[in-house]
Amino acid sequence: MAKHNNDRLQGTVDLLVLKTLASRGRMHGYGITLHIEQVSEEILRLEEGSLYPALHRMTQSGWLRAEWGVSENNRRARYYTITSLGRKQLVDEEKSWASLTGAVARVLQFSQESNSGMV
Amino acid sequence: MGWFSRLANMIRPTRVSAEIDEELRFHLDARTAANVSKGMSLEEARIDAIKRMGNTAVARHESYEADVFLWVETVLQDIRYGVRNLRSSPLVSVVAVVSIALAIGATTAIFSIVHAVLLRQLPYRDPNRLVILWGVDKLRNSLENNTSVPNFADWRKQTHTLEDLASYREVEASFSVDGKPDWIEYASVNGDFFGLMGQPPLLGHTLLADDLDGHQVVLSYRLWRTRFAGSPDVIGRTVELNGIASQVIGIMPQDFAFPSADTLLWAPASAIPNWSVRRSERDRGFGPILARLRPDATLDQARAEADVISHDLALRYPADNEDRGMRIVPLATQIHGRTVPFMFAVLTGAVFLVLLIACANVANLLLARGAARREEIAIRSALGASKVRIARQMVTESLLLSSLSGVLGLPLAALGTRAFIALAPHGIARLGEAHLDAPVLVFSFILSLATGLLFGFAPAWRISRQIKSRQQTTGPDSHRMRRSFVVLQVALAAILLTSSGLLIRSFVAVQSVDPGFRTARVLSAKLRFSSDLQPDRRAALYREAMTRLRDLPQVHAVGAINTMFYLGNDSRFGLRAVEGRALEPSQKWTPMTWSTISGDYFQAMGVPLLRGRFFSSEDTKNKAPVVIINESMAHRYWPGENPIGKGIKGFDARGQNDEWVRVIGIVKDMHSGGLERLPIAQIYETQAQSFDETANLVVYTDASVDVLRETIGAIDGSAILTDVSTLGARLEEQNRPRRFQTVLLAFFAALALALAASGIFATIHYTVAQRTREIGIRMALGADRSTVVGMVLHEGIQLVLIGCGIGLVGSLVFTRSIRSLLFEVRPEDPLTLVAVLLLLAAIALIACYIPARRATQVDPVIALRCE
Repeated sequence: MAKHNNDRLQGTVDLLVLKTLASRGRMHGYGITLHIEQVSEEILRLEEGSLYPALHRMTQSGWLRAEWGVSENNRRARYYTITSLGRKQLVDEEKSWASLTGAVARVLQFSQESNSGMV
Repeated sequence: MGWFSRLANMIRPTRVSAEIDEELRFHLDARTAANVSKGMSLEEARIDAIKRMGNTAVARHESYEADVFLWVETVLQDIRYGVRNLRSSPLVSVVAVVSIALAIGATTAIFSIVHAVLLRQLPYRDPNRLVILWGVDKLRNSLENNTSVPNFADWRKQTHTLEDLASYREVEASFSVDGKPDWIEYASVNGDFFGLMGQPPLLGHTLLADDLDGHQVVLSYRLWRTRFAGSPDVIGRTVELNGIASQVIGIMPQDFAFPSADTLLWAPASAIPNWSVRRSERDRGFGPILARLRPDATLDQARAEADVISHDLALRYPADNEDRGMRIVPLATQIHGRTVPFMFAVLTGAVFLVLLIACANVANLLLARGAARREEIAIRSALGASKVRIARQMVTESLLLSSLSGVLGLPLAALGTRAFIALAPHGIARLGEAHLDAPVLVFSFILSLATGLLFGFAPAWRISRQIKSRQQTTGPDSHRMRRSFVVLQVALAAILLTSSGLLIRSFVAVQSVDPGFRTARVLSAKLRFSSDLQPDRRAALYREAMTRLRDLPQVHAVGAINTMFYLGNDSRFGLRAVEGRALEPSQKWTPMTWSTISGDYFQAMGVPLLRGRFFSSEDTKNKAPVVIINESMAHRYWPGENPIGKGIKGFDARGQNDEWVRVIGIVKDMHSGGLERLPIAQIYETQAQSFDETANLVVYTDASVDVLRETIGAIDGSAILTDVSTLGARLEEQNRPRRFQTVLLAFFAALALALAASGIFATIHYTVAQRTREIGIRMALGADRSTVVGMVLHEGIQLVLIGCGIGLVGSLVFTRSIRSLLFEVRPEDPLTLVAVLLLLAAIALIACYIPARRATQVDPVIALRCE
């Protein structure tokens, strides 16, 4: 796949999408974008186009189910729901995210402590 | 998304693209609308939406790839990985592929035969509604009687459930083209036969109903190719049938083979020599009736109506129709007969057992290899491959194996089909058309996939269990599974071995039956003279032929009979009268034959005279009628008495005024009904006092057939010898179905045995490899070789004995179903069962001994170091 210019977010797109669908149920791509923006208070702004390959990839992996439906303003839209396989994946990703952020936090904390000790 | 829609995505890429475009467009429009509602101008809103979207082309392309290629990618990955695995243990892979290829080849071959003969539709119009009507004689228990021409006309008028009625008669007649004499089988047809069958001719046109002037014939494809070299100019040519000039008006296609593949042409009923008499004779059968069920009628309704019409005919013409009925049989059932479907069912069952054994064998090999791969699997699982993913990998490997076997099985199947056709008994309709056509290939393909799933299931299941419980495949659980596969193989092989053992015993028993006549150096042939000669002239020619043949130097005896063998006929008969006895009730009737002989028939056959005398030249038309009977006949009517001189009256009047027919001699019984049936009561009269012709010549001779042909040819230009054979060869031909079944079942049993033996060998070999360390310790502690060998053998023998036990119980069930194929041996024949047990035990001993011996050659030091 082509390199993405928002690299730091790329690895977490799956987690964000899975979490969004797990809590909000059936949504289309635009809805997912809006939800992530609103909840993160506009800090996490995806490059919106990059969401779609991720949705299609997760659908192929069996984490999501996609179907065509009708949107609020009566247009054909593709809706996604999370599958049970997707929920398991979500649990795994949450764990690894927690361990990653925990580890990063500890590293940051450690350097602060050692700094203060040096003084 | 299921795999089907994934496949569909590959096939319809434009549709996938269109959907992705629509999804992205929806997003852009929604964002634009939201922007506008926040107060942007439409233009600004649009630009902002596009900016936020980023690179749409990349998004579209990557989504497309995700939809189409992700799945294909993982499958290709599985396959590549599978191929690498198969190549990493070539011996296991080769054994597995060969086992399955043999089994799939054999199964496909049997299927191609079953498909060609039984499953395919007949090549006639709407063939499932075609039926055949056989007359039934309730008194005599004869079930395939011909219907007379006047009765046929009444049926045609009275039936409301059948339409397009036609009748046919299988006839043999002289046939010549440009004066070259020949003798052929053909069908004489009455009614709209060709309209009913609905198959158009290859060339020309067919006979039309009720426009039958008797001077037109339609040729079969076979006759057209053999006698006219397939030339299209044959339409309009003149041939001679029954000595009458007839015009060829059409050629039928190759697959039009009704009533049989030996039917060489079709002619109107009016072409048979005595048609003018026969068309009004209600007591002389012409042939069976063919008809089509009306669209609104069922077979049951037609049968109910048949009873009504038969009853009505019996009331109106009691002399010819009393105690007669009509049996309606679907045409397909009639053509398949009863023995062929049964034979095919037995063979199909046997070949599926072989396939099961092969699957068990390969499952076992894969399990053993799975055990060897436990580290690799553990690593993959630790690296994050899911249980499902690893199991899928295993199944992909199995499918790879089975498809490879399926491809290799195809040439085997083609070979098997040809061998089957070559060995098969004569007269199985449409057998020759069997080949690997599209339905057979589809079957073979599905069979390959099914076998792959079947033998791949156990290893895949084991692996996923292993991952779940983090246990190793070398655990006791895996051993139990592999042992039970060995037991299964042995059990199935035991079933096949017992069945083929019983058939072999039956075959030997049939072969050792004394036929009651001489089989070596006795030629049998049919002697024909043109069928348009007057009966007196023909009788004179036959007498002349006998005299000339007898005078040949190397000829010891010459005789002839009207019908030599009575095969598959269970009709019962009674005599009209026996001198000095009360009339016998029809319930006590038994099978009985009355034949006409001429010349020194019994001397040529080597049948000894027990009492009285043979016919002499004194027994002529003007003298008192006399007969010779066989032992069975003597026992049946005159037990403990001397039958010589006793009088009987047969089916028709004999002599001038229905005189008593006197017994003048008794001959030894012979097996005229085939070796497998007991001799029946037989009566012989001399041709000099009969109306019947004796066309079946028997010559006890050392002379060659050519000498006989020359002698016969010199008598009359139309004389011809057909069906030349020896009595031994004719018996062999009668035995051919049994020989065929026995050979085929024995072949399957041998295959099963080989597969099972390799299964035992592989399992024991593997066990020994696993126990190298233990064996090393034992030997280091002082165990001698025989102890170690005994230990290994013990395990193998134990498995085989359990397998045999289960197999013998199973075979009692299986052999019961082939009871009708057995001859003078019971399904639970102890000799066969013991022989199978010993054979399996011996094979198992050999299969176990090789690995056991290797175990004793282990150097304790090395053994202890391993692992």
